Amino acid sequence: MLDLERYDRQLKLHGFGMEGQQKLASARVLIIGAGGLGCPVLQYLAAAGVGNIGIVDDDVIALSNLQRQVLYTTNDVGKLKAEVASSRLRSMNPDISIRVISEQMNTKNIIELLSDYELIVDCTDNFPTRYLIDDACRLMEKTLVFGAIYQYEGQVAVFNIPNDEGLKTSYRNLFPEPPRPSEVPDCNDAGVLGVLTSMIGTIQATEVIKLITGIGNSLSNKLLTINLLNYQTILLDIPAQITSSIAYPTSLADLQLTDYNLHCGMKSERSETICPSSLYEMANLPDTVIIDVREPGEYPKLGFPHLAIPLSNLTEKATQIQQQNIIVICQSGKRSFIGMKLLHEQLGKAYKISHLDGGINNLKE
Amino acid sequence: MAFGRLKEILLSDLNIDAESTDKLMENLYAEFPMLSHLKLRIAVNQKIISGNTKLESNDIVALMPPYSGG
Repeated sequence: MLDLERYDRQLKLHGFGMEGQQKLASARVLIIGAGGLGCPVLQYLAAAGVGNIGIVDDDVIALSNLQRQVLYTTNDVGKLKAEVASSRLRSMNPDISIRVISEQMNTKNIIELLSDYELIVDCTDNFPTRYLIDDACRLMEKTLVFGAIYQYEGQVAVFNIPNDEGLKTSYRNLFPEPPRPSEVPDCNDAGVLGVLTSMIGTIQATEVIKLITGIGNSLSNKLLTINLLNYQTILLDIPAQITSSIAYPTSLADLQLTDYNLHCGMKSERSETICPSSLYEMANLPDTVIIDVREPGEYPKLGFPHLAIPLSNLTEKATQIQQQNIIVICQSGKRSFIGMKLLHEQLGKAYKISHLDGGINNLKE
Repeated sequence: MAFGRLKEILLSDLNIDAESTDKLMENLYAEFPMLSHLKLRIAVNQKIISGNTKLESNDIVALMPPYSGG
């Protein structure tokens, strides 16, 4: 039974009413990230009576979070965000059911977690997780409400809802290729005004409520950007095609084999970096090849079997590689890291590709 | 119009004569070399474009970078 008094003010709204309230009560929404954006999203969705809320976050509350993550108090520092958030929300609205998932979203758990919910809200703070969520939502045809911030500016968009012509867009339509690490500073480095996350998160919550109840026009296929310093606001149409020059997952099987850290130019979590002491041991494993990506004429020459393919030719010659285990090496470890990334993109996930940390400079005879 | 880090590089909204978005970006990259290192989308009159687009006078071009914060 719905508590009519609790929801009285929105029940009175033209176009919302009991029907809208019942839609909210039976809705299933997964909020990924319980930080700056996640707090207002959670607060307003719980208060409005969204019946089933999932909270994914494996992080603990830090003192520097409290300036903008307004669900938490000073006494909560050190506690799990998803746990504390759920207990606050339960006391705010005992009518709704809340599931706490204190895990990091990854390629292993995402399909199962998403399949339980009809609407996904991206409140994360890093590109690898954002691209993972976007790919999964596109492939699973889940509505995704995206929000992101930078200093005094924020972006909101709604993905994977077909328009009248059946065209739908995802984050890959907007930014097909992840930026390089350090290209876009995060809140830790660039800072953020506390009210910004609340404003952008509140717009995300607005979109969720509108989508569930069917009121108004959503931000589907559009990117809203707001600058708080001058209230410059722009609404952009997102193109229907994905124009990407790099490979990205086109099936869920593909997605599960993708290393999103690597995809976003970051160091992989899998052990794809080889330390000098284990190079010889690794090189002797069956079906293994060492590839020297230095240019011809660089010294010292290698005293063990290897294939020499300069980095500049690596992409075109990648298909010549016969072995499944590939170790890329160079002088300092820089080019071999890029080479490893190139080969990952070129050859796909069937290959185990690693590179020598610190390069030949680090090898002791 | 520019957003995010792009605004920090361009400093303000600019009025530029250019016949197409490719020419416009060529001019901007020459004047602001740091721009060429950043991923961005170009929108003409609020539509994100995927290829070179002819510009008319008074067209508004917006440069949009990705944001990651949350």
